[in-house]
Amino acid sequence: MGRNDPNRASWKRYAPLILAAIVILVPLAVPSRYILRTLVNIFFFAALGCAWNIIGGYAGQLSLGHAAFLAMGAYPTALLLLNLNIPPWLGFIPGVVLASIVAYLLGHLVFRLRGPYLALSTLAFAEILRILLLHFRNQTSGSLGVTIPFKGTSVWKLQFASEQPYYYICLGLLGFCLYVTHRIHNSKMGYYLQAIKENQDAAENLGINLSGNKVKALMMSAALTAMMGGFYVAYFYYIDPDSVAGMDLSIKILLVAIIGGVGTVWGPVVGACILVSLTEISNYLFGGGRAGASLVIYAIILMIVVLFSPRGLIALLPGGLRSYRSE
Amino acid sequence: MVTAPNESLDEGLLELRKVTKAFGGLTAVDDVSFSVRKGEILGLIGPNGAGKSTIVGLVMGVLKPNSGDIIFAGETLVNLKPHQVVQRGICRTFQVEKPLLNMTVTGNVLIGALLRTRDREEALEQTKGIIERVRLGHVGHVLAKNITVQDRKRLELARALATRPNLLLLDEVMAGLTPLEIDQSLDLLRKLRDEGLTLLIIEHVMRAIMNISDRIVVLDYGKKIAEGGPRDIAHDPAVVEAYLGKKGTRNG
Repeated sequence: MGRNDPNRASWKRYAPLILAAIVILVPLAVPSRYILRTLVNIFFFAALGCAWNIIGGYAGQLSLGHAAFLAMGAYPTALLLLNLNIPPWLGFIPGVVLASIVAYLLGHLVFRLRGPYLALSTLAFAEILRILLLHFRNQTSGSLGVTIPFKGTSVWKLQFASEQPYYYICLGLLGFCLYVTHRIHNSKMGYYLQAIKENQDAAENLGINLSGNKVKALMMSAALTAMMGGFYVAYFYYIDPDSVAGMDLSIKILLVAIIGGVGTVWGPVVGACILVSLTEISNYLFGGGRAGASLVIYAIILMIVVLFSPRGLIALLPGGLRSYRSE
Repeated sequence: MVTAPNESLDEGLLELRKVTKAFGGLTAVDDVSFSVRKGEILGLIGPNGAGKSTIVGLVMGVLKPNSGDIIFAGETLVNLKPHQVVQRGICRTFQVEKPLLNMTVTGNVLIGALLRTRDREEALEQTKGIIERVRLGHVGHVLAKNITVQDRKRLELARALATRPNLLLLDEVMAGLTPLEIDQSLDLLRKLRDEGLTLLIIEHVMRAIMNISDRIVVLDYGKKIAEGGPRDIAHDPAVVEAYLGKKGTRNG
């Protein structure tokens, strides 16, 4: 029945367009600054989840240190803006280049490792970076963090008094991340990454360059993450080592992807919707005094997802399973 | 296809020259030399632990020999990584099957076919042909984790064929098949050989290997103890001894 049902077919065809229209029109229709901020947060984490997904989801190489790449994008952006007055939309580029180079070097080191060692070494890598950021106080202001002063709306410096411009910028960045993962999903590289995830010996025997593909995936993932680090600076006006290079952030990034649906294009979007809204709800219910409550909620959701829908929540949506490569 | 630079006819397609591989104190392959000629089916037999699978590992670049050289189509393989060996035109099957579990049978084979083409449609076309040939058509859309062990064996062969090798190393692809299925496999392997593929077959099913091999190399404790046609091998005293034990050793 279902598949050839014309109503369903037209519903399917128009649903994405309607959704896109709603997403684009929301800032014009919704005056609430709070709701827009929450949506920007959702886009932001969805984009990070997407970026993580390339190496962690498609290639199945668990990275527990992705915050390091965010910091590599954020710190250069912030310091260039503060010291040299270079606007974030230019200032994020050195960070992206830096993150790609570091990913290249790190990849050649860590992809000799398999299993928990890879996860542990990425975790250690992020911690080392965080401690370095704290240590080089003269350059990074250490634990005080870098504060960007707001000097009135300026398109050049990406500083806006209203929320709407950030909304569209972040939406655009998320769109870019989705486009990149979509391209990978349908490419030879996408197949190769999945083969690597399934069985490295078999993949190698199919002529797949294991370390080459993994390093490439990590570089793309790191570059996108660093790009979002640039946005972080423009949006939050403040960074410090704990918030941009801390383990909490690394974990949150991978939770977005895992809860939403590992190795799918849209999974991280679903994951970000759930995680960010729940964080907001828990902050509302428990107040700032019990900020840790959201962590408990993450843990509970993670357990539920792993037990009942290990492919992520996207698998529960109609048509969600089709986003997994199955041919 | 892969180019094979200036092979002379008397040289083998694959040549092992005094290859030795030791794991700690155990010499798994001991000074072994033999060659696989272009277009032949070479059987590699020997009791358990004779070093057969080690040789496959050495050829594929998964293991590095302690000494000796392995030449394929005039080029040494010793410094290549496994994926480079596959790109040169050699592929293996695994004795313990290694399917990509969460992908369909078609997906498994498609990934192999993508090695030689970027065009997904072309790869899919080749994939379908190979799947039919190895009799996996009935499970094309089934996830590899849900197929039977026999079908997994066929999938190993299908995936290897998809990389379009010039030389195929088959590590016990007939174990666990019924006599009818073995005959079907032998037919297929002969056809592949007639189409120009060279095969190195490791097999415990003696009837199969004696039946299909043009020549046979026998290993025992890492050493080559015999080489020749199936008929000669079957009557070679050293081979009989390796398989059945020495006559009269009990009485000294």
